[in-house]
Amino acid sequence: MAVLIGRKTEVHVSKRSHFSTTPKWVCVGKWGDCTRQCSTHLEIVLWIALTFVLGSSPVLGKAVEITYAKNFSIEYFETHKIVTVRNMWRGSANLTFNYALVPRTAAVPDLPSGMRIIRTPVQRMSILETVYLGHIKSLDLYDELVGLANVSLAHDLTALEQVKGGYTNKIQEGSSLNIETLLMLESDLVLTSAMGNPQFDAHPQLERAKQPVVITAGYMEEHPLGRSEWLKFTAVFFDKEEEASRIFDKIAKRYNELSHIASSAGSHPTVLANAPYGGTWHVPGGRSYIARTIEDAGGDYLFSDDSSSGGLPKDFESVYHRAAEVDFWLNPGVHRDLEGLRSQDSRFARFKAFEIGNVYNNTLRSNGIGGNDIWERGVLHPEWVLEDLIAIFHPELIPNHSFRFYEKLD
Amino acid sequence: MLSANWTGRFRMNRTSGLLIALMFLNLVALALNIGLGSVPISISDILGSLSGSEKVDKVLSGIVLEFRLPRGLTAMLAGAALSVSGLMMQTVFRNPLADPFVLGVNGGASLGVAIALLVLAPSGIALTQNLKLSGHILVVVAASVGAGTVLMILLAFARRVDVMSLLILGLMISYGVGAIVSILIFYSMADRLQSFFNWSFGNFSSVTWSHFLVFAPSVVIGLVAVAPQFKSLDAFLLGERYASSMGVNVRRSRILVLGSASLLAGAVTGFCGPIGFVGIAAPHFCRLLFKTPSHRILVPSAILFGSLIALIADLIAKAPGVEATLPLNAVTALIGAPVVIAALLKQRNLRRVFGG
Repeated sequence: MAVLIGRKTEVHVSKRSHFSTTPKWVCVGKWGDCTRQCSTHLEIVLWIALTFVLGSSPVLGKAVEITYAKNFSIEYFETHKIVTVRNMWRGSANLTFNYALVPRTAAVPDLPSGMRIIRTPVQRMSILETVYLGHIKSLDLYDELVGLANVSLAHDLTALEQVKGGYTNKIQEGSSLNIETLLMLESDLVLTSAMGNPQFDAHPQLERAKQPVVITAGYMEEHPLGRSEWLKFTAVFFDKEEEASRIFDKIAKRYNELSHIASSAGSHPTVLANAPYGGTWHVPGGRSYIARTIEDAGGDYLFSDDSSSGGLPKDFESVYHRAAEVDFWLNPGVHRDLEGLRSQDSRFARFKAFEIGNVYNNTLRSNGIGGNDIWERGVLHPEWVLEDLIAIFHPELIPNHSFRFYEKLD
Repeated sequence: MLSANWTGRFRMNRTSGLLIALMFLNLVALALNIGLGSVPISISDILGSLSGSEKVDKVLSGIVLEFRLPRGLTAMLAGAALSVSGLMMQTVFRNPLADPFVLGVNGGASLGVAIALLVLAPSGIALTQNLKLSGHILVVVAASVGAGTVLMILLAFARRVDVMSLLILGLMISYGVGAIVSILIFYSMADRLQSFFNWSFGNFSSVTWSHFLVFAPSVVIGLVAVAPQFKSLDAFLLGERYASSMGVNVRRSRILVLGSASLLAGAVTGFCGPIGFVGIAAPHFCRLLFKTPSHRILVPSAILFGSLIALIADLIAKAPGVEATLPLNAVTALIGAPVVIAALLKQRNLRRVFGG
């Protein structure tokens, strides 16, 4: 997907209208407080002057191209960047979230209504999901990380140390967001994702509290590289697009090389994923990024004929019917040995993959208390996951491979 | 004299006829449960699997013997257990709204499972690995311990207070325990909640033959323990004072009856999750149909009716022909609610049955 570059003239309106079209909650940090309340003429004059001086200077940073990710785009304007997020959750249809990224040294330009404003480069970031820790590590944004939710699900050691040392604050324990702690942090960016369920989603509450919340939709991407490319999304808030592009190009190149290597494999072993809970087996949909990675690794995913990108609830017996003779079984829950798996349900032992010991779990880099690197760096680096899977399905193609995320259960 | 004898004989005939019909319906429902599922299997393959024929495909016979048969039998036992448990609760408390969960047995089991899934599991997978108690077994143990603890508290009080106080005590325990569960839920991660909610939907399919070795004896012991109490149960309907004047050792009987009712409900809740409505609906169905307060008839009919309702509910929940399933609790409630409403509308003499 190409990115629009250059000047856009249709957004120019009179200076005065900026005060009326800008939504109230837009205010960010100390500057924001001023824009909300300033009503005196003096301030307006000051604003116009500032806009005049700074507004004409072009935004720093080169435009980046988005190749695999479908759910976000970046547009570059003279005074700001506009980031658009779509397909945030299943059934979100035509709904989009638009963010105007305005340099903190510049005045807020006239923007179309419904635009949420974020001041860049972001200096204080809070994250409500641990998946962004992969980006933080890769772009070295630890100094900017002031708030972290679900600390017990985090794996990144530097971030955990920062939490221990008190530099990064815990902003959520369990399902209860600690909104007061979050407010005290005065973040200028709060990253989260949404399910489209007002009961679970944090963003409506955060927007009411005038927090600069930004919704991501990486988990809704169908291609693993699309998910990985969200690195550019995070980077744009820090003016680090070029660095992100360099990192991502390497990832994409390696991924494509590996999938080319895997395509030379003579056979395609069948693959099953996940495990049942409460009698229902949620298998990854045929168009999920997991299914895509399995196919790219030279595997034959059993539910590839399905057309959904999320999980599919299946009856255990129907999965057994389809998968009794399966060659490989991936991600069977929390178990790290076959005996534990058998003790959960003795019927697991009837699968051929179990009988011949071809059960692999992505638990190699899990810390035993909830954190697992595959949900952080594994999301950013699908080429590492792919390499593991190729080594599982076709060990002859990747000799002397040392596994990064996957381990064989025995 | 003659007419009384005649109606008595007629009633006996009608009763035994109905019981035989219920047994027959149970067999039909079991056959349907084994025959229908998300995977279509021919009748000859099913019969071949059941008779251990070598000609049947290994996968298909595995589905029949390892999935459908234990699931069907589990449904029957669970339905019977909940139904009898509900009948006993309604009789002892002389309250048509009592069910196995009113004493807080369900609440105790939920608390046990919530602690296991929401507190212990996140603080270390190592715990489950060392004990070799993982997944389902851990849940079963947790639910049984939780239900058992509540039961112990209740039985300790059962000697000292009257039934109405006990009923209120049970409700209060339910509220208290429910509050702790909701606090645990509130402070838990979404992915942990998923496993807790999955358990709370209830299902018969997680019971494998190895679980069955524990599940079936618990239910059978609970059911057999009721048999010597038929007379006391009949007397309970007329009030505890009347029962004791009839020579019933009220305290002892109450403890025995409540103990077996809790064992039945606890076993089912542990293995299958909190399955609602069977316990309250099946006894009403039986009273409606058999028109008798005698437990000699009501208990066997409750066993048959409970198992029939559970089989039908599970058949609907399985949604034959489709690869998906429905949450069992939603199905039992959809069947159960109209039954209770019908019982209330038709059986205007409900008060009479409960000696009100």
